[in-house]
Amino acid sequence: MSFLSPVAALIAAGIAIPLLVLLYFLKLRRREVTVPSTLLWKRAVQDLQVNSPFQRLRRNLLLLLQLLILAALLIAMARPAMQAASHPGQRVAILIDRSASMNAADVSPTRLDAARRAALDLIDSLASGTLPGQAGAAMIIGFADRAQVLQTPTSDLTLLRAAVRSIQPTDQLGNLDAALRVIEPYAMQAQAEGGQPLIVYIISDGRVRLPEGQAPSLHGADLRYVRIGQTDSPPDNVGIVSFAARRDLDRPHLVQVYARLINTNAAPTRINVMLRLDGQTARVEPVSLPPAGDAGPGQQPVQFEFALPGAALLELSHDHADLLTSDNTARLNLAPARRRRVLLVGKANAFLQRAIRSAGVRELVLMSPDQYENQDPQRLTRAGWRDAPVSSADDGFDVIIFDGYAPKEPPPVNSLFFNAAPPIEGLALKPSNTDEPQTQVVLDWQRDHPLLRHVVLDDVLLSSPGRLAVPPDAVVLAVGPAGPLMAQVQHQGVWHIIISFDILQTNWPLYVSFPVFISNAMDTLGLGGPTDEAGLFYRTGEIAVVPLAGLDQGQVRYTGPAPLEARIRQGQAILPAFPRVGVYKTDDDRVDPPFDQIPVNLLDEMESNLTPLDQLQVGAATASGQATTAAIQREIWPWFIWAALAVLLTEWLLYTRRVHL
Amino acid sequence: MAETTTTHDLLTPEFIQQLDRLDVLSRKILWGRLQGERRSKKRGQSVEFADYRPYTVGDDLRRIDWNLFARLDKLFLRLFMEEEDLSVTIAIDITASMDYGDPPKLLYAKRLAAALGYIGLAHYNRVNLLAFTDRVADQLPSLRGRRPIPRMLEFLQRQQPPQSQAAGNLAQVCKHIALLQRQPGIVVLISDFFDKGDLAQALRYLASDRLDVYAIQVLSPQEVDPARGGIIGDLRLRDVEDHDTAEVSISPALLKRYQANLQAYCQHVREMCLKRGVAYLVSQTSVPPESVVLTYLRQRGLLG
Repeated sequence: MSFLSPVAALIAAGIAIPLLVLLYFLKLRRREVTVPSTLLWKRAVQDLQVNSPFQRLRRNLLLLLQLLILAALLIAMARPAMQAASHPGQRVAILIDRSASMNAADVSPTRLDAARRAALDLIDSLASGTLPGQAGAAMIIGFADRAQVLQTPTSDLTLLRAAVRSIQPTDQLGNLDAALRVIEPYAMQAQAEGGQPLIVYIISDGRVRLPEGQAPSLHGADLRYVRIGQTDSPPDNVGIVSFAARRDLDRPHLVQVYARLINTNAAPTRINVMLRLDGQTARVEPVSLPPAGDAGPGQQPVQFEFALPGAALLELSHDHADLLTSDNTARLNLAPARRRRVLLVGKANAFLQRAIRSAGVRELVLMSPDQYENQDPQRLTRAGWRDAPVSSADDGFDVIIFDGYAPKEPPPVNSLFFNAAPPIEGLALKPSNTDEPQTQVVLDWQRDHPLLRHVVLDDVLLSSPGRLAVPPDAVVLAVGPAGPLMAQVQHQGVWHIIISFDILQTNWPLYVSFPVFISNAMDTLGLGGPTDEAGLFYRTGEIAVVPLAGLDQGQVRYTGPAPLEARIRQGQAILPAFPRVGVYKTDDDRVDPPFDQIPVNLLDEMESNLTPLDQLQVGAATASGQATTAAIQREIWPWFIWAALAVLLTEWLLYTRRVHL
Repeated sequence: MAETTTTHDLLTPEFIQQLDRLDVLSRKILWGRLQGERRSKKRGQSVEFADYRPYTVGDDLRRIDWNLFARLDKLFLRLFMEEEDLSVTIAIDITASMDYGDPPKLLYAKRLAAALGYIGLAHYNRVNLLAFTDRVADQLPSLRGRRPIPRMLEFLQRQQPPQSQAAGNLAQVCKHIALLQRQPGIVVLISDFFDKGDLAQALRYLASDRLDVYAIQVLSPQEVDPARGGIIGDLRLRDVEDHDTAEVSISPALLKRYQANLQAYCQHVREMCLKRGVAYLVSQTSVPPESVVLTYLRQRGLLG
């Protein structure tokens, strides 16, 4: 035990103790009462003094008790602390993990509350270690998927405490890297000023993403890991860590749901897994989970198969009462069963047709340019998400491919243009100049773009490919010697991919990369982009883009586990990162299904495995933080105040016993 | 406690009726001076025959028993019982300490004195009344017969604690009483006996064959149980007589000790009295004076 402000207490003791003793020796103010004779009283007092050997002590008992009270108060004033490790004048950054695993209830009430307490203790110890004017500035950072500076460096303890108390729990993944990058400049500044290093307290359970690759430069920082969470027994948690739904390609009404559950208990756990469709329980299946071992938590896949042609909100949950609730349920918006319908406008190109069919498209419609222009444009778009039948003859299209024909109006659905360009401002297809070489190659392409995934264009030879003039917001996917060959343009919420050459003028159809490209294009354009599976869901921390075709102003509001709000711009609204799991809903009529209700899941094995880590290895060059719960000073002055109160009560009892008979 | 007392305060008619049946007795056979209703040791002139004795020259010839002379030829005198009066001195303590308690001890003492005085006067005894502080402050000597009863009551009523407060001096007072008492008789001393002087010395003055002394100690309930009298807490106790102060912090132990001391003091007074042949009676003012007079004093033999 150490004292944080002994001088103040000593000064107070020097004043208070003599004062008390002096007061005690001053005459007691006695009430005067007239009695017939003092004869008997004097004798009684004498007798009492003579007959009780501890009379003197007893008379001073009140004084002793008062001295005891004073001593307790003075010790409290000296601010005793259980651990002495203060860092006067040093800069401190307190990083508080507020990821999903910090909501675990193994520490009452939650790990995040324990982290808050630890942070407040740290702030108290920071305050005690500094004299006024000798600023020990601290900053507070809360981090989950993103890091947020809740309080910039200050020595104002009230601000720091308020910042700590303002930390709200999230269901996002913990990303320590993001937090460390926030403090990186502060650490560098501390190093540059040549002073003491920035002390970084990481208050976490260790279930965080550590920096990979190039770790932040923290040479000027002294990392200390304050571990939160119970380590004496394996945490009791069963979590859903992956979840997906697929429709059968040939029988789209058949839905397959896959999920994987982990168990962090040391014992095998039996649970019931429930599948709900739009709130109605559809299946309940008992599942036996293997225990957690040295290799990690026990894992068990679960699979359901059922027939459901329409759209539905799927909810998978288990009934095991465990420490973390956010991973007990996973939800997704199941897309209605339908086949991809593709319209090919132009010449009957055999290479293209075969490639489209090989991409899994069962319904390919061919049209001549005249047929295309003479039909009702409304019939091109497909009906809504909810009421789409499994297959109907003329129900619009998912993708339109224009082969060598440019329509008079930009098509209302996602489209792919070969050797043609839609009439969009700034977009134009220009023929090759005569001075260019006849045969050209693709110079560069975006290998990590979804459209060009696994597509190799090395050996493709192009004959007079022409070039594209693209608007500023277009994405150029491939360039040739003369200019862009392939570009992605968004117009009124509809995606268009424009390719400047005719495939029959190239040897591309002869390579395997061509069907791969067509397949990528069908997948990317055909399903509208939100997901390449039959279900729509987001994970916490992700950002959702809500398509709002034709709108460019206003706001979209979502309610749910947390209220969300986004401005509409250029036919879409970008929602902020989802903080909590659950279903976010909106009553806005402008939002089309499936975005009227957005399921958000945790689905993260790192967060669901609640076992706190003993050590955090942050990069190779930086120090690894040990669990330094002992580094926190806990002030114990309230104990002494309580003790003083208790003694005061005793004194009062003694006094009243003397007075009242 | 300057309250006026009326005759009815001191003696009620019902009480007087009961008192009429009582007379003052003495445990000793004492000589009176005037003829009264009391049988005397002396042979005298009553109708009750007592004895014979041989005639000597100078005896009253009227008292010779001539019948006996005829039979025996010797002269014998007939002796008769003499009835004479009894001197009753009632001394009440009017020091300031007596003006304490509820009812005040002084009023209680006055009632006792009035009752005893009435009995004495009703039976033709000579009654002397004394009021004393550190000395005899007032006296009303030699009352006899029923006529001066109002005077006696008036005397008692006007007794108040003196303004000049002085500590009681019982020894001085007793000496005075002994000197005043030229005639044998009964002395009734009504006081609280809270005297810081030598009590033994005081009683020694009264211890004599000629005097039959009764000491009645009057205590108030507040003295017996101080907590009832509001004596609680840290106090400076002031003696009402000599202004002596005692600082006490009342505790259960102290109260217990006080009560033990009170018991011991009363026992001490009793022993002193017994040693000097003085009859002793302690009475709390909570006990009605009627029952003291009608019960306890009869048991003690003062009244019969």
